[in-house]
Amino acid sequence: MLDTHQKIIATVDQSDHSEGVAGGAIWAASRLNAPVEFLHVLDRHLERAESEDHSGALGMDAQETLLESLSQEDASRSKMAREQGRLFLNKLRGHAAAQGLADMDTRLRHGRLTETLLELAPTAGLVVIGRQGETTIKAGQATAVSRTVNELIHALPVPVLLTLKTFTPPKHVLVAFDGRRATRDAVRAIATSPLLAGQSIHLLMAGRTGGGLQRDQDKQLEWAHTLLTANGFSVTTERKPLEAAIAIAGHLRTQPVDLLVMGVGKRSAIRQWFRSSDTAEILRVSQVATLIVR
Amino acid sequence: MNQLRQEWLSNTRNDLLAGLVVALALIPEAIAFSIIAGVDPKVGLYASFCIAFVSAFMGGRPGMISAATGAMALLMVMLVKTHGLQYLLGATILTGLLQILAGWLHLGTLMRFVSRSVITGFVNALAILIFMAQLPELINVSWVVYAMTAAGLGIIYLFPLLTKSIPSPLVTIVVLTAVAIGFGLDIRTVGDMGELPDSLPVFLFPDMPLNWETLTIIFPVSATMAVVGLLESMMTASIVDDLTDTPSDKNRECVGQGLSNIFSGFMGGMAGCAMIGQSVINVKSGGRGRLSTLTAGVLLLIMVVFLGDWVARIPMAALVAVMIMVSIGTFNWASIRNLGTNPKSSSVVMLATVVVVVATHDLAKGVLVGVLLSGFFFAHKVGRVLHVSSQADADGTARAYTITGQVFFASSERFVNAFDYREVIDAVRIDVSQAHFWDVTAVSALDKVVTKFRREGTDVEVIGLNEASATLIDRFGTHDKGDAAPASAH
Repeated sequence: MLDTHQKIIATVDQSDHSEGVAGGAIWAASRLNAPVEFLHVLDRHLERAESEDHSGALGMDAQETLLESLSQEDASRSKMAREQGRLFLNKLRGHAAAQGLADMDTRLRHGRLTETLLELAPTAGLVVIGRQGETTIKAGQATAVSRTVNELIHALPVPVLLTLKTFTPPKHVLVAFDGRRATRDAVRAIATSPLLAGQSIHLLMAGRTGGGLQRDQDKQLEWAHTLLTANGFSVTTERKPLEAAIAIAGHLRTQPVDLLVMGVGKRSAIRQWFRSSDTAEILRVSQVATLIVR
Repeated sequence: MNQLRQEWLSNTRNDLLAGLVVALALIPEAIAFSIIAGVDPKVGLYASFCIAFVSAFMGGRPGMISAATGAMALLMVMLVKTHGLQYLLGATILTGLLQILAGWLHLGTLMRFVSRSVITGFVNALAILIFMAQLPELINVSWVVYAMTAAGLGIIYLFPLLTKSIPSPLVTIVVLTAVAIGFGLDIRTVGDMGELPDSLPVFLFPDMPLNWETLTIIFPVSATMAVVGLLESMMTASIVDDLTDTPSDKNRECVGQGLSNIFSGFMGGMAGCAMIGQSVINVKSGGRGRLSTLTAGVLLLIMVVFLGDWVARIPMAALVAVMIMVSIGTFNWASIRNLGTNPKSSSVVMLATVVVVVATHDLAKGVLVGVLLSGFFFAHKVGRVLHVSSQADADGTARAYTITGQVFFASSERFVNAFDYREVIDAVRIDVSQAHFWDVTAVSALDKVVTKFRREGTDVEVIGLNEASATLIDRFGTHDKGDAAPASAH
């Protein structure tokens, strides 16, 4: 997890959030000594239609004529999108090269972003995504996390770096820790990875306290502290008897944090349906670059 | 959850508009198909609502329109005539159960045996039958009806040149109704054809005895309707797949069709399925999601229930015009143009399907004939992919035969005749490594060849039986098991 030399996939669209994605990818590439692949997905949005013809009349060869006209429209739109996509990726490549990224590749794919990423992610060590994409920005939701992101963080089999509009190489890292397996895995991953080596890390433990639970949490916190310190991190720890999202939001308001790290377990579709996930809530309240480790 | 949102809400405005266009076109169709089936218009209208409503939620192809259809109506005529509406409702429910069974058994995949030519034959036959069903309204009537029908068709095809924002079939209906009322024309109207819905449909169990005899009456009809309904639905689904460049879930569609029909039967509606013409209209009008199907069904019911008095006054001529349009739009005209250029066997399959359907009014029979003919032609063609070559040894005492291609029932005779048994030699080697032995006939043909050679005193060695053939030979063959032959080498 978060190993060196494994490809980093940076998903970019033609919104201004792509700059942050590129920044995050370039930073991660330099830390992990890994190649970057800029992935741009051209989505024809097949679930939507444009039609001004409500005549409801069926002429001769109605079906063939309709297929012909629909595919012609799609063809011209796709060609334009392809050219735009290529220009965009070339520009991005130029920017990235200027910022010192040597080992990179670009990939232009047709399809839906979620499906494409799920298909490609297993070949990568890290995926970088913007908190927002074109759709969310167009919808005018300035601080929301895009639906695609919420969908992807539970489904992707690799760590995900969520970036804001701009990316600054992190100095202050906040690790959300609840002692459960997912967050222990996250701590283990960053402890052994060069990605955050040498950073100052603040371990924040949130959640209910009391009795045996507290003793267990103390033990877990102690374990995390020891592991990170042993790997050369300067670590501070803190416990807050609050809901994770509230504790994190409170910390972000008062302390400088450049990167939030959290662990995410696999979550079934049913559970997502019945209760809005804690992860989604944390993401909603924390306007900061976030590394999600599975 | 994301998929649900995508299938329902990603195209809201267009889906609502397209649903409205479809609903307006569905009303005349549902009435016309009720008349074909010999039931009150309300049976088809309730059915169209129920089927569209349920298939919007349960179907496997978002954006496809299902309702009461001509293909199904044609199959129920006799049942309605001899046993009445209640048995039809029972048959409709049974049809649904059979379709769900088909979905569970994944029979949707059987569609791959229905060739393009059969599908073309199916839609052409359907178009012809829909057109023929209009003839009773056009025979022995006054010139006024002809004039009205012609005017209706004129409006349908010319009005879109003016504007495409209003459905032209609606304009036709409104104008012709206004003319008929305004001039007090004495021509047949929808109201003359039977009862229209005056309320929302209610849940009722069909009034028929639940016994073996009932089952023997309705089962044959239900089974045929289940097959035809699924065929047209699968066909329509793949048409919509092509038009929208998106995939569909065929087995879910089978189950969805079944549930729709069960619901329809309990609500006093007749059996239905997906509609090619309406689905094309829906896609053309911008419908892509499930919302379009739901809108079509719900609006249809609302309009019919609340405007029932006006619907009753629509002249039949307007309906006939709309149905002629549906028939023109459904017919595959390219298939006529391609008759000369397509392979003869394809054309024969297409024409045979059409002829059988038009003669029997049963689309299932036509498809069966079409599928059998396609299989026959295919076997005939592949049977020719068999080549036997041979070479004699230098001293002329042995000969090596090399077989390439497909050996099965249609080619076995050619296979047997390809060897020269009269040649006086000590041994033959038959190399079948490049051949495929498909069935028992092929195996016994090889046995026959070996036996024939042995009777002439020739040693036979069969080599290179590839894996596929080897399993067949091992299971069925005799020549290498016998005491006489140490020859074969596997």
